[in-house]
Amino acid sequence: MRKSDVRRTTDPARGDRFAVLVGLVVGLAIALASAATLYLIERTHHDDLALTTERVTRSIGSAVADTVGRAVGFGLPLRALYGVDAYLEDIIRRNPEVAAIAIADDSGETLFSVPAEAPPGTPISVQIPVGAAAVGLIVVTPSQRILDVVARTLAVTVLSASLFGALLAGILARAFAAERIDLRQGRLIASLRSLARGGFGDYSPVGGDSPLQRLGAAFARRLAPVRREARQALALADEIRAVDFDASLGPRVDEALAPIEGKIRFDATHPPSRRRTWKGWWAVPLLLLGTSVHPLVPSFAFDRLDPGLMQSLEVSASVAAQFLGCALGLLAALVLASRSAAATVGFGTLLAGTATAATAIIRDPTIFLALRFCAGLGLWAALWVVLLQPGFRLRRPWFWSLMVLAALAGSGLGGLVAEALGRRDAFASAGVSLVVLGLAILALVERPRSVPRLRLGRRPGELVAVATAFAVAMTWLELALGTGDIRYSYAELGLHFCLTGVAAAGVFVIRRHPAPALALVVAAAGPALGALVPDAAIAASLLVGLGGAMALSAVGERVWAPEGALAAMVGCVAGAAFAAGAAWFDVEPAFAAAAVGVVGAMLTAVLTMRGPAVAPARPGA
Amino acid sequence: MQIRLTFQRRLALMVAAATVTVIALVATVGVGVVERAHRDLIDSRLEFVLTTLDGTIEASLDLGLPLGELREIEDLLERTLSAEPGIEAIEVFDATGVSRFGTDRGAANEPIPHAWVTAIRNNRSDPLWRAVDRGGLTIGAPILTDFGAIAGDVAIVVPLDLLERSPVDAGIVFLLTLGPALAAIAIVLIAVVLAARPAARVFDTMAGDVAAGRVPTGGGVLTAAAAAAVARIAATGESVGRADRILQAIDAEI
Repeated sequence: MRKSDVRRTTDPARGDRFAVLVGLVVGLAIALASAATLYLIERTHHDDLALTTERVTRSIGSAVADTVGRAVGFGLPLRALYGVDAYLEDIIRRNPEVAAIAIADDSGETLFSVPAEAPPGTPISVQIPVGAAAVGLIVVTPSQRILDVVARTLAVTVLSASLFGALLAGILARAFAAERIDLRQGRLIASLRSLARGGFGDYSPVGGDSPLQRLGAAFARRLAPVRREARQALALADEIRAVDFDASLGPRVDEALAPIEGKIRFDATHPPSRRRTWKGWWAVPLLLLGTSVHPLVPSFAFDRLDPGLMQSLEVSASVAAQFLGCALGLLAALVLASRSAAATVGFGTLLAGTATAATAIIRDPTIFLALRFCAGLGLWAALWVVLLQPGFRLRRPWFWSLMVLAALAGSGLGGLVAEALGRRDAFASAGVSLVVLGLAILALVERPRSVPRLRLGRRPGELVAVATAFAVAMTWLELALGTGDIRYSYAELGLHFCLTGVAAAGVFVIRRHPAPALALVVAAAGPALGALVPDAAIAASLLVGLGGAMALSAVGERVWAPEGALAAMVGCVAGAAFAAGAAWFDVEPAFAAAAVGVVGAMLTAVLTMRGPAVAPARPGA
Repeated sequence: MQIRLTFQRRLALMVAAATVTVIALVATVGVGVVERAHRDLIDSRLEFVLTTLDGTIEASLDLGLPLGELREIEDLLERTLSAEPGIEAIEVFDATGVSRFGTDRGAANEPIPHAWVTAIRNNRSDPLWRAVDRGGLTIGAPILTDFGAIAGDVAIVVPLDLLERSPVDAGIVFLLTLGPALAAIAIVLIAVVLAARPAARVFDTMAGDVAAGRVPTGGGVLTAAAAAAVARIAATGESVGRADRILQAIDAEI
């Protein structure tokens, strides 16, 4: 079968629909189960939290009563106390657990109240002691802040987990469909076409764990009697020729065999290939784990230094360092893959895992930067050797889009793990898991049969489009959101990565897209919207996913070779550098992301106008 | 014994395993969020008590008396200790690290523990310092004079497990998660097997046609290739049969 046969003989939309259906069902099932679980957990502990809030409120009430009581003890009448409102405002500002404080005299008349109208809630009253008597009451209304924060975090967790689960299940289903249906169908069709041309020996049945197995077996059963009869006829013809001493029967035998001999081959022209699942799919869990710490990197770098320009530069440098490491890891893999594949995978995952896990115990910003570089270097060196396993060219129509989705889903996973365990433990668990996974796949890795060459000069417009799409997404998700107000809400950060992934998956499935330059403008509109409109971050992440994926779809899968991946990483480094430059002029990272998108779109438009026509859409996602 | 799984079942099992893992992760997040909220509330209460004590002592220092002379501090500490459950001890010590007042009378005029000194020295930017010593957590705040000089520190000691103790029972959480997780597994298993059926049905119908010797009909590249192959097999079968019959006849003549 020729490589191009894959496109002609498969129906990618069927596999896409199947993956979307599986993703939807899993997402829905996780949403329902998670919502039920978290609701039960929240309800079970709601009273505990309310009681603890009440204790805090009572403590605050006692302290205020003590202070007011001492003032009254000095001889000042309660009604004549001055500066009380400012004092109460300060208490409320420093203690978000308190919604309102009021001071009432012994007749119950409210003398002071901040705010003037107390919000709904069950107030707690504490007597104001002066000696052995009480001169009034401090009435404190607890706020619902903690309970609201808990409820909001749990709701975000449900959403994030559902989208992550949907993406993960969709990726699994699409990979399964590609291996068990699409590729086997392609092989079966090639086999049947050969059979239709008379190549009976070339027919090979379909493996047992595919829905096509029965069809393949049906053809094998149809073929068997014809083969047997043909073999018998040929054997009989040989027998007749052996006793045909005067050659009188020869012409009749030749005439009888004329429709068979020379027109139908019963011997195979090539040995049957061993059909095993592609080992390159192991790159998906590798990437899931490797990118799981990406939402945590900006906030970790952010916390290393005091607020200021150096803090912004540290964040950008840390993010850029990991992508620079990835780019160099890719180059290292291309050099080392054909020489020492297993050693590269082993060393790469060990380096990436150790560097990631070590983050859990470090505090120094420079060491963190170096560790992110090492993590990127090791991860991509290992990842690319795994991707280059024999059979990677055949799977190119599928695995590129699935790898993009896996990278985004991985960050969703990291957000959930960090929310559950804390940031440092999330780094540690991701690192340890990477090392374990690396050891597990070490024995499976083969030496790649061919290693593609980097062809950076062939499609500059398309490469710029890829670089820009990744730069916009990275600058928005990691630098704008990762250092913004939600930087410590890891589940929410993960949710944004997953939203981008879901939007991208939609584009990959629908396979409709404008020109790459226009798609990049759509992507750039996302961060601009996020920066200009309050509470529009979700729409912004969706736009980034839509625009980015449309740009990637528009450039086609042919650019999705190592040069495309290298362009993506260089784009991320450039995006981080652009954001650092913007920080110098006190410009927000979101605006930097939008500017990167617009500049990249213009460059793409210029280069694609001059260059060859844009490749058609990928056949499958 | 080797168990052979079909494509659908294998995928369904993998997806179900992923679903369970995600739900377990979600339950862990739920526990973490509740624990963190609980810890934040207790932390918030302790910080408030400490800063209030600190503010009151600083206000007394404003009158011009040295820290060691402020006798009313003892009453303040006793009142606070009795009003705030969970606090084990409160200590006020001067800038040289010698205890001046405290709810533990035996500690008066004794130097403070080494762990506290280390914590104060290592604390650079936070307004409060924390030290863990002999199963207790100490949170302290500096007492500042009007001129910004440090006159000493006030520290409260709480049992370590006051903050660390989880309000969440793992067994209850497991039971709460079990039902929804099992329901999700059932949904996913059934849905994935059912979702894979239409594709399998198309191929099975075609397999039935091929087995019966009928030419598959309908659109699609696979159908066209299958139809061509069926036609070729039938034609070849006839040719081979005809050749065989002729050869049998020749053989009979011999």
